[in-house]
Amino acid sequence: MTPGASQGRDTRFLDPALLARLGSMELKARTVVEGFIAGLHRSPYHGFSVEFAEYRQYLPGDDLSTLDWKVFARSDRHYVKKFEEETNLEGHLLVDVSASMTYRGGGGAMSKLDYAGVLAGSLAYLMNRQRDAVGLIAFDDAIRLRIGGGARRGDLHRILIALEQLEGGHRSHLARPLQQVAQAITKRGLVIVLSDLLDDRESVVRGLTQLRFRGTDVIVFQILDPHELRFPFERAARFRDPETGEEVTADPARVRASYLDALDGLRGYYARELRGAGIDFLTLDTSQPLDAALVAYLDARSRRH
Amino acid sequence: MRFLAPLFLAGAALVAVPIVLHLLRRDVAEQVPFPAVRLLRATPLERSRNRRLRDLVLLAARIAALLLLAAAFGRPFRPGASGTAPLTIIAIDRSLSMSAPGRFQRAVDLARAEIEHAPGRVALIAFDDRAEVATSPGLASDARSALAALSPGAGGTRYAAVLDRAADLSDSAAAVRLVIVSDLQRAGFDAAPALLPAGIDLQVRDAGGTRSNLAVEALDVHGGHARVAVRNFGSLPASTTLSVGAPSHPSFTRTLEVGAGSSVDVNVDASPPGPVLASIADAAGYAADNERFAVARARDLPRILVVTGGPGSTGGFYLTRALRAAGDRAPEIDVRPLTGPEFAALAPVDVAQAAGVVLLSTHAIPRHAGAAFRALFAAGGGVFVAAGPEVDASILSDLLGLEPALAVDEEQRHGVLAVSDVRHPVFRPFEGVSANLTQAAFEREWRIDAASWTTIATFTSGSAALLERAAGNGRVLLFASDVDRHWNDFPLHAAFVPFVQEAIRYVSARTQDGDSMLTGDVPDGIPARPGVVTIRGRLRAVNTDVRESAIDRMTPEEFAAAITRTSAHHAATEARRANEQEAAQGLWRYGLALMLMTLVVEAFVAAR
Repeated sequence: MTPGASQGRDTRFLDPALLARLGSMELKARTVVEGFIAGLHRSPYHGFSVEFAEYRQYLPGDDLSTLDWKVFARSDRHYVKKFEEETNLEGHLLVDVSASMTYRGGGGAMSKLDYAGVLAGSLAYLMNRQRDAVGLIAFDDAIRLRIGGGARRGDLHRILIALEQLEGGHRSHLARPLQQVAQAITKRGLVIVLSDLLDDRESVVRGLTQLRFRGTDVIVFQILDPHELRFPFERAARFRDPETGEEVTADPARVRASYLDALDGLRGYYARELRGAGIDFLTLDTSQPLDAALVAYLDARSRRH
Repeated sequence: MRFLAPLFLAGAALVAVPIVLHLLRRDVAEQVPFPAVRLLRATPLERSRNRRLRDLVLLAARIAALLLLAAAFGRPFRPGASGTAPLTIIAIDRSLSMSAPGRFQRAVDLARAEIEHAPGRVALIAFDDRAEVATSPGLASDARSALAALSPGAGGTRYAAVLDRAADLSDSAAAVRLVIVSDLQRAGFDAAPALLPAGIDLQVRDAGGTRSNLAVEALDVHGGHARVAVRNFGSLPASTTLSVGAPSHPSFTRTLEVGAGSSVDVNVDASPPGPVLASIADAAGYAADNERFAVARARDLPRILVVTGGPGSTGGFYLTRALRAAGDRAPEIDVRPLTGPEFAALAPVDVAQAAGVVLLSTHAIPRHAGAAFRALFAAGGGVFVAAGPEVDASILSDLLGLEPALAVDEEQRHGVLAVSDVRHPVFRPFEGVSANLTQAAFEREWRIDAASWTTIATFTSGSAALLERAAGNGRVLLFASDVDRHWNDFPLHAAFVPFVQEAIRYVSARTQDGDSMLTGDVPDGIPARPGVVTIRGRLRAVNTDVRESAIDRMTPEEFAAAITRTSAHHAATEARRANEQEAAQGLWRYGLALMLMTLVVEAFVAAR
């Protein structure tokens, strides 16, 4: 999965700057998804549209009510119409609402939490459109919000409203809520984690791989602000962690290289460890469109089915 | 540089605040929220040269702003900035005594020498009774020119006046020297205190004195007779020729021998009406006191207006006859009986010409007639009021402008007059025979609240009988019973006539001393030299002050010692001078403006 996957598609409706000006979360999600799907028809990912109806030959034991009599009339063969509820997966959106997610540097149109919210809403909208069941879990050092999975329109609305009302919490501790999630998910499905992953790297990987070991597909979106990605500061400052209150006095000119090295090291560690465990990992820039994330989701879903 | 409010300079201690902050917080950087702090490596902040320079500029700007603020509140000024050059005030005596031969020229020479050697600015004062600034502090050439135009006058000497004026001139100068050039007459120090601020350097230059002086000390013209007094102020006998008569045609001449320190009186008959001059010849003494003027009146009867009631009133019968009886051979008082309406018809200026008014009734006098009484009082005239059935106290108060208004109760009591002070001019004829006054029986009287009056006589009942109070330049005399036999039988007794005559003379006494004045007292526009002048249509004689004719002098040391140096006044003057200089310079405004500019620079540098 690379950012190049979005080439050739119209990303106007995925621009965070535009989305930040839109009203409700539902409008944002619909704008993202519809724009994204419109682009898909011109992309290599054509075929993922939820309009696609899936058929298979009747097998003994299938519910006769699912037989498609129109097909039978045309082809004289028995096909059953495969309903979305049966074929779709159960998705879980895990959104990090820790204090660090509220950060918005000078280069982004949204805070990381806003970006994660819009992305989660878009994914939920997309899943709902594909008749996938989707649930929402918001966490920092513990689970703060949980909305059970469902594929009905009302379930989507509840999730979108909840996403709209997300606020920053305390310091993050991914391992603990991931453990709770792993225990709570009884059915294999898809877990999508949206977090800046600015936590103890080993415990993060341990928690995520724990999910994967239970047979759940996991996609991890590491959401970072452009300032975190590029460290464009010029004047010496006391850099303060909003979660821990830890302060580091540094001259950007002198520490920029080492910081970027450390960040690359962290991202490389996550990519290596998570992908090694079969977990998709993608770093997202809050100043960039959301299509890369959506493509990653579709890619993962396609691999599962 | 000095400060008017130096206590505010203590606020300059606040400069310690930015210095301390600069030292303590020099490495404190701005706080920036950043979640990925765990990936950052702390680095010590090495301050670049530019940064250090910027901080030093900021520190300097903040310190300068605080210092300028404190300095502005301290109200700075440059002492003596408006008159930095030292000031020499030269005061030259031009009084009568300086008219002795060669005296004034010597004074001018001394003054000119002082002008030549004066550093900085020079001011010139010419003084006698008054001190006149001939040239304000400025160029020496101006003072020289003004000095050349001066000449001795006929005024007396009054040192207090020149000292006061010098103190006023010195207010705006830092170093002041006062040089007094005078003959140092002792008579120049009068009752007024001679004060000079201690900060002024006083120097005295003696223009010299004279050993002899003859003066016409007095000239009294009365009833066709003139009395002349000639005094010799010197220590040796002297002779002179006295001439008396009209200024252009003396009708009397006599040679007099006057002993040392004594005077000679000469009586001259048949002085003609008009200006009279008595003069002597005295070339060695002062010129201006060789003459003395007077005005002989042809028939100078004081006019008294006797105001009674309405037409047909018989009031004032006894009083007018008593007044017309004054004088041994001829009437001394011009009595004019008037009814109330007749009096009200007179213009105030006509009333003011009278010596006095006798008011026996208020019934027929409108209240607007108060203007006539005010004019009378302004001219020094007086009013005699006798209570009676036709006098209303309220109207009387309005007419005469009595404040507070007259409060009376009319009471019927039996009593006689009791004189409180027989030395009073009204009762002087009764000295030794005051018992005559007790023969009159009084049956009714006003009981008067005499709080704002002076009681001259009382009734035996205890209430005031004759009261007096000042009114403008004149006076009011109030008799608490009537003079027409309504409330008493006083007019039938012999004491009535002298009582009425003396009372009227007393209230109309202004004419006795209004014919002469001193050179120092002449109003503006009238030359201050001996002679006869016309003031408001009346001839007045102007003469020199007799004290100025004395030749008694002081040494410069005695002169300086007679002046009280006032440090308190000096301090007050210094404070006033400082205030004026500070206000004129307004340096605090520049301080605040500079502070604001400094803050702008500070803001600009801090924003970089």
